[in-house]
Amino acid sequence: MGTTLSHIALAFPKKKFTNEDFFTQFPEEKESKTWNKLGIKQRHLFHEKEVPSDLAVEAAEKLFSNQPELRKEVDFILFSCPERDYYTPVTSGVLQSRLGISQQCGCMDVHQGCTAFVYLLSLADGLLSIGVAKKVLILAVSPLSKKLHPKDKANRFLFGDAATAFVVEKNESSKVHSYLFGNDGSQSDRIIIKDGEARNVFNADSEKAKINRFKETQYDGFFYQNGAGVFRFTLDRVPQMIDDILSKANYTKDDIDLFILHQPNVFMVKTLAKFAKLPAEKVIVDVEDYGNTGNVSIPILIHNLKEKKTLRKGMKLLIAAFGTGLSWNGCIWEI
Amino acid sequence: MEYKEFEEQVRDVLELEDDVQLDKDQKLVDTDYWSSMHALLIMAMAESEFGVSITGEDLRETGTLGSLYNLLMERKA
Repeated sequence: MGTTLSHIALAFPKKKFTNEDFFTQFPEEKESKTWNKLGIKQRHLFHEKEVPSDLAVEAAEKLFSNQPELRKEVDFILFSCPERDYYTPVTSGVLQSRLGISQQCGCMDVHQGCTAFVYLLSLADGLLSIGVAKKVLILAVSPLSKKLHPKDKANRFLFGDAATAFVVEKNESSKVHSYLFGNDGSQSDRIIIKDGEARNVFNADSEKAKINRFKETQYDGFFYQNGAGVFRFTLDRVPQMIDDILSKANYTKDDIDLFILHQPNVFMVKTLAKFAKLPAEKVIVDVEDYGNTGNVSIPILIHNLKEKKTLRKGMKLLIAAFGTGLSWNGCIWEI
Repeated sequence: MEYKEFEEQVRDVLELEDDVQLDKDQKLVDTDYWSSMHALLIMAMAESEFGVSITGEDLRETGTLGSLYNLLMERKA
């Protein structure tokens, strides 16, 4: 008996931030040709006071309105978002009650970034295989825009907020396998918010511009990404990981129907596909209306492929993600 | 590859207009056209056109287009 991702829904904050809005804020960027290469036209943004888990509830309610029986059947909840409701209890536990899910339900929060999807899928797969759960509800939210400095042009162009709710359950014909995980903590400062947690509390200097070891401007209380370093890491790690997953499964690239990569932007996905020697027609890019939605980018791809009825029984998808950590992971989902 | 040819490739990759002057000895980060995205474009070009892996730190340390050319030629050899 295998595993499948059976139902999926998305939710987005109401506020939109289009490229026109961006160029109104940063008129000096209007003439630059580089923004076009990123292939993003708009993103959705949380208002400062919106709570990310509320958007997870919206996504879950969408899922339940399409599949009402699920509300009674879910017996495990995994919640993934860098912002939790409270220090304690876990947000997944709060959501169990808010969503009217049975008390005979395990609840776990999973703190991850852009590589969350494969972590969550593998955890759900494990819970199903040891027999403690039959239907795992996964809720993930990316609220990163709340942590972007107002002057951080590049990341304000790149990132959008989103939430997803999806169910992982047992299935006769479908299976997920050849999981692979990696992490290089020595590069943790290449994607980081330094201040605001236990190591460094938010302080008077958190909002001040500093020059970091990469000779770039960094505001320690806000999101920072060393673009060139992350790009180098991605090109060094991800093509190799894709080859390793294929060899673990004893497949070649020809056996794979679609390559589902994390979606930072069009330039990154296309460059990665080129360096990994993936057939362009098998690499889906879907960032135009969303930007980089972190842990929700792969669920958005899967949701939209399902909507377009592109996904068919028997297809093999190779999933590969990369991001903060710096981390990388992937697997193969045979639908 | 001659420097002139390399300069043309950089011009193509960065999609620079003809009126943009490329100065061999000017620091890239000090030019009007440079942005963080350009660093990624140059890194991708180094790999696909020269088969050479360079890092953001390499780009920062080389600084000018002339020294970047020298670095690529050196690593290629």
